[in-house]
Amino acid sequence: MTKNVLLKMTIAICNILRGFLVFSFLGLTVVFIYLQIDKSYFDKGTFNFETNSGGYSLIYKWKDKSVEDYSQIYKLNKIKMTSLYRMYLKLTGILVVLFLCVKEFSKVIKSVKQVETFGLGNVKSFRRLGVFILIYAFLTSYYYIGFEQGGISKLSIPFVPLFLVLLSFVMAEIFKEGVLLKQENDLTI
Amino acid sequence: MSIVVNLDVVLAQRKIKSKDLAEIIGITEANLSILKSGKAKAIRFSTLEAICKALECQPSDILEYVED
Repeated sequence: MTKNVLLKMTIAICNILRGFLVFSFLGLTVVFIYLQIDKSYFDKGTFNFETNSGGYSLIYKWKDKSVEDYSQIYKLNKIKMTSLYRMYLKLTGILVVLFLCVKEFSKVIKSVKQVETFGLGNVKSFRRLGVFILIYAFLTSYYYIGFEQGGISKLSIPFVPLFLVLLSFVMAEIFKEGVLLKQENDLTI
Repeated sequence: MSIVVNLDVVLAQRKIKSKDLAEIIGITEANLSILKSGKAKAIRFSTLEAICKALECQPSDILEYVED
């Protein structure tokens, strides 16, 4: 299967994705550092909390009575320092977990390319993938951001990642069965 | 193990080397070694047939049931 175009493309996409995640982390770190040096540079940077991640969510917003509109509060330069650090760590965690997910998936695809599909390594990879997606689901399920004149917190149940967790563990079990069948086939003379 | 493979004995009686048998029946030496050592989980009828034909013997000469 070394000449399979689909597998080659998937591995290439995984490599691009890994590079993109590394650049995202670097960009995030630059913004994080620069925000502490010169807050005024981010005067126009606002948060958009209207995005729907495809799950049930509970949003709680609050603001000072003196402020008329929420859009005046949710600005990047008005974020509280503790919230900034918390957000940076959380986003870093998400990027790291996504990087590890792509790495594990890439490992599985490479093993398929080398015609070593049913190996114990792939069973472990799918289990790890399940754990990483579970961590991702946990990290993205809740956020709390405090601004100078208000804040927002959101709690949601991310169905898609949770479904992927289930799928990963099921795939691990299927591959485990495959490994047993392969071992039996290898020992049939 | 309950099933004992007596391939070594038959090979010695026929004075045939493992390497030659592997070549005749068309399997690798590594696989023949697995079969001889008793590590094999199963044996195909086609392999058994080829071994019997090459060694001019019966399956019972090669396989033996021993109670644990």
